[in-house]
Amino acid sequence: MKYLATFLIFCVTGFFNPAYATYGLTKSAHLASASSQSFSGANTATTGFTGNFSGEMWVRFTSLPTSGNRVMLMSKWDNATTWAQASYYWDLNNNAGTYELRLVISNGTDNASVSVVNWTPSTGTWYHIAFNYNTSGTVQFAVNGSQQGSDQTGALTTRGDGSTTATYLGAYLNSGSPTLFLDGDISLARLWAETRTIANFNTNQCSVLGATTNLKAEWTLNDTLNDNSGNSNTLTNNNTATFTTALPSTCATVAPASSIESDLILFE
Amino acid sequence: MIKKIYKYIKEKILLFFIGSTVLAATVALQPSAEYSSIDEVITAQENYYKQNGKYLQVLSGSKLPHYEQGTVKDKLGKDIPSGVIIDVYEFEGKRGYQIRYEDETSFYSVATGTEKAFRTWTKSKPVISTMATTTK
Repeated sequence: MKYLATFLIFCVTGFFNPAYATYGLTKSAHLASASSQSFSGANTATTGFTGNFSGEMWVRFTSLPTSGNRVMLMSKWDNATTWAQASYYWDLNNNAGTYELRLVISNGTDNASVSVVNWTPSTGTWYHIAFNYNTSGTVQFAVNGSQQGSDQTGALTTRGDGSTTATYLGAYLNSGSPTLFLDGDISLARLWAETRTIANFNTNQCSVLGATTNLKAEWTLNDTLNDNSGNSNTLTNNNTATFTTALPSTCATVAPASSIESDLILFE
Repeated sequence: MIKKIYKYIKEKILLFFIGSTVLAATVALQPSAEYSSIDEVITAQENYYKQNGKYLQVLSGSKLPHYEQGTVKDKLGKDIPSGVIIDVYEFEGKRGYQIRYEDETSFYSVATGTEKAFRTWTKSKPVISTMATTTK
């Protein structure tokens, strides 16, 4: 009887529910730039905010931008007729053969700042990439848990909320039309309303966190476009992006954050 | 002999003009190779949806994305004008599409589906130049 009750509790609590938030990753999202694929999320109070923030994701490039071109990682920006539609974008830029991770911040009224570090990725390799923005005007970039370059100072100290613009993964808007498409795979993208530590990015790079203080969106892209943070920032699939079993090798072997054993202990 | 040659040439010239006229008329009667209005494109997309349960993405130049086979003409009946782009989207299992095009003064977008409200717009050209300068 005791075991039957335990089994029933498992079922009710989602042990057999594939959407259960603490399962490990089994899939990632594939974006093909040639077919203009991307993900977008309508503005909400939890994505359209000002102040400190950070972002992180796994990325594996199928191709890299050619000289003078760039691809978008995450954005909330419309390069349109008013600055109110611009908050930030995070891209990989090819500056005459030198690759740069950049974070562009708009104050939402009349100006923007560009923070840059050099970083040369390879195609076909998974990287965990992250940025931090602080209203002191400081920006940090991290790759695989290591800070790239030093703290970048001089960024704008105010950031617009971009509240009339969607959040995009793998593209940004230019007068309402998505462009600068990323060509590759992405997984476990997160948006935070705080500055994180580099160590924190590293520690949780494979963890599916679920509802967490200041975590505004967690898109696992684990065969789903749901927001796992509890903030309902469900993504839209633009132009039929797909999910594949490609995963960062370090994450593919990581056990779910909540294991079977811990559930058993909990319910017994 | 000369009279025969003259008659022969006269017949050929006559046949040439008749043939050209028939050919020109035939060409004129052929349906246009591409849709000429957005309303026609919308009708074609809705018909495609009824048959396939999805909308058709069309890239610039009336090209299909990598995941589709065949041609736009095969699937929609006619080509899409080269400057028109059709994006498709899916949100929580519901599908829609967005038709984008431009003229000398503006960008236009016409959409259907759950995101119709914010995917339908007209935006004037040009974008503000200072943004492009500031952000490379």
